[in-house]
Amino acid sequence: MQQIEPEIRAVMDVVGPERVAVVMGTSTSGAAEAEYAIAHDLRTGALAPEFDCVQLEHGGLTQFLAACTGARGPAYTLSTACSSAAKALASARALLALDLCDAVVAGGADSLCGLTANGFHALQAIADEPSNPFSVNRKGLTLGEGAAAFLLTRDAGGIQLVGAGEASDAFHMSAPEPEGTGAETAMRAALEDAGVAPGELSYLNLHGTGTPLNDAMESRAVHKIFGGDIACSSTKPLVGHTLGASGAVELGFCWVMLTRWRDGLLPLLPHRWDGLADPALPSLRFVRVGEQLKVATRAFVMSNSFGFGGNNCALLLAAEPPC
Amino acid sequence: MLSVVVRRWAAWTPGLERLDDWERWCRVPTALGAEGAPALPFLPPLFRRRCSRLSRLMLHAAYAACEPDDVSALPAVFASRFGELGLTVSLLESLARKEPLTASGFTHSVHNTQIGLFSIAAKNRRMASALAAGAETFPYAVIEALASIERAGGGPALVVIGDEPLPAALEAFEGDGIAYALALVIARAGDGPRVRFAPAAAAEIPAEPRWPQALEFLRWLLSDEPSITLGASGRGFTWTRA
Repeated sequence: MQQIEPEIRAVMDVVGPERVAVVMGTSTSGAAEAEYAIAHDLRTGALAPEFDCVQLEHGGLTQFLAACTGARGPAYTLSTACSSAAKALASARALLALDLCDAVVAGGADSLCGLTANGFHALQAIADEPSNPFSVNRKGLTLGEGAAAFLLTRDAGGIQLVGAGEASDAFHMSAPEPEGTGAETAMRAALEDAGVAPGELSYLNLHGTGTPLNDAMESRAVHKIFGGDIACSSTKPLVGHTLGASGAVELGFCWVMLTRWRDGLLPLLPHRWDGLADPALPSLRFVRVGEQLKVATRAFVMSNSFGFGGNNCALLLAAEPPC
Repeated sequence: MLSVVVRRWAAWTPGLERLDDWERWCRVPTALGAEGAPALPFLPPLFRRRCSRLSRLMLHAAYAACEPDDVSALPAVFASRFGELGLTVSLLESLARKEPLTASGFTHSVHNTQIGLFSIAAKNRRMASALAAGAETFPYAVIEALASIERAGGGPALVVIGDEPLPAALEAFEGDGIAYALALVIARAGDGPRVRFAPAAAAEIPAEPRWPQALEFLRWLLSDEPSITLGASGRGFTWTRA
C-alpha cells in the first residue's frame, strides 16, 4: 500500500478523508502474531506482552490501514477464505456506486502462519512439490503470502473494474460443488454486470489452486461458458496461493499485464505446469511462457477467486488501447 | 445520508428468544447472559452437531428473521467482530503443543463459517459476505448489506450480527461479554420502519454504549426515541427515524 500512498494522498487532498473508504480482505489477519502470543502463554502463563487482540481480529487489518492512510470513510474487512480480497473489490465498487465515498483503498493481505499451513495440511490440500494446476499429476496447492491494494475512484479512463459476480455453492464447508455451478454463476454474473459477451474476453486468470477438486470443477465451469479456446492461466505456481489476498494479488497481475499492452499485442500471464492435461477434464487453452495475444480494441480480462465454504467471486477488468 | 427499511428482525441471547421477550427488554433492559445456545430444531441433527454456539446463534436469528422462502433467496451478510475466536485460540494452543489440527476444526474456525453453514443449510446460492470491523462491525454490516443490494440490483438483503464472550486466554481484552445475534432483513423500500443514518461528529459520540451496538440499535428501533448516536473511538453514526 505504501507504493500507492502518493496517489491515495493526492485523492484524499481533493475529496477529504471522510470520502475515502478502506475495504480489505484477509483470511488470516494476524494469526502469526497470535500463534506466538498463545505459545508464550502456554510456556509462561502470560500472553506475549506486545500482543493485542486487535491483531487477531479480522477487522484489525482495515482499522490499521485506515489509521495509516488517515481515511475516515467506511472501513471494514471481508473474510470469505480465498475469495476475501476479490469480494473486497466488489464491495468497494458498490460503495462508489452508492456514493458513500469518492475513493476506496481496496485489496487484501494474508501472511504465512502455522494455522493455515497445518489447517490446509489437515485438509490434505497441500502438495509436497510446487503446485501443478490442471495437470493429471496435480497433488494440491502451494501456500504463499502477499498483499495487494488498489485505489478505486469513479474517474474515466485507465484500467476499469467493470464487472463483479458473486455466488455461493451451498454445497460443502471445505469442498467445491463438483460441477462448478457456483463458480459458473459468479463468472456469468461478472460478464453480465460488465455487459461483456464470453467471446469478448481476452484472458481469464483461473483460481487454479492445483487441488484435484478445485481444478476439476473450475475446468467444467470455464468450459461451459467459454469453451476451450479462451487463453487462461493460474499464477499460483509462480507465487503460491496467497489465500485471502489472492483475489487482489492476482487482479494486480492482470492490471500489470494490461499496462504492458503495446502495438496491439497483449502479453499474457503464463501457466507454469508440467503440460500434461488431465484427460478426465474438459480441455482448456493454457497460456505458454512468452505468449502474446493480438488485441486491437478494448481488452477485457477476468480473475476468479473461490473460497472454501463455497464462496465464489469473479472480477472483470477493461482497458482501452494503449494504456 | 443513507436510508434503509427494516422489513423484519429477530434476535437471540440467553433468556431473550422471542419477539415479545425483546420488546420487554427494550422497554426495561436487564443484564444479558453469556451461556446457552439456541437448539436449531429445524436443521438435521447431523448438521446441528457441526454448529458451534456462534453458528447456532447466527443461524437461529437468520432463520427467525426470514420468511420461509427468503432463507434461500436473499443475498446475505454475516458479521462478527471476533468470529470463531474461541476455536481459533484452541487451534493455536494445539499448534503450540505440536499437536496436529483436525480438518473439521480448521474448516469451522474461519470467519465465513456461519455464512457457509447458512448457505448450505438454506440452499442459498446468492452472494454472501462475512464481515468484521472491530467495534464498528454493526454499522458496516448494514452498509455492506446495502452494497450487496446494489450488487444484486435491488431487493432485500439479510444481515446477521453475532458475537460471544472472548475465550479465557484473551479475556483481558475488550469484548462485549455476552452471547447474542441480531438478524435484520433490510431493503431500500417496502413495509417496515425506515431508518436514516449518517456519520456523527466525534463530539456527539457517547462513551462506550452499555450493550453491543446491534442491540443498542434494536432497543432504539423498538423505542419512541427520535434518534440515537452509536460509535466508538470518536467514530460512529447517528440513526434517525424517517
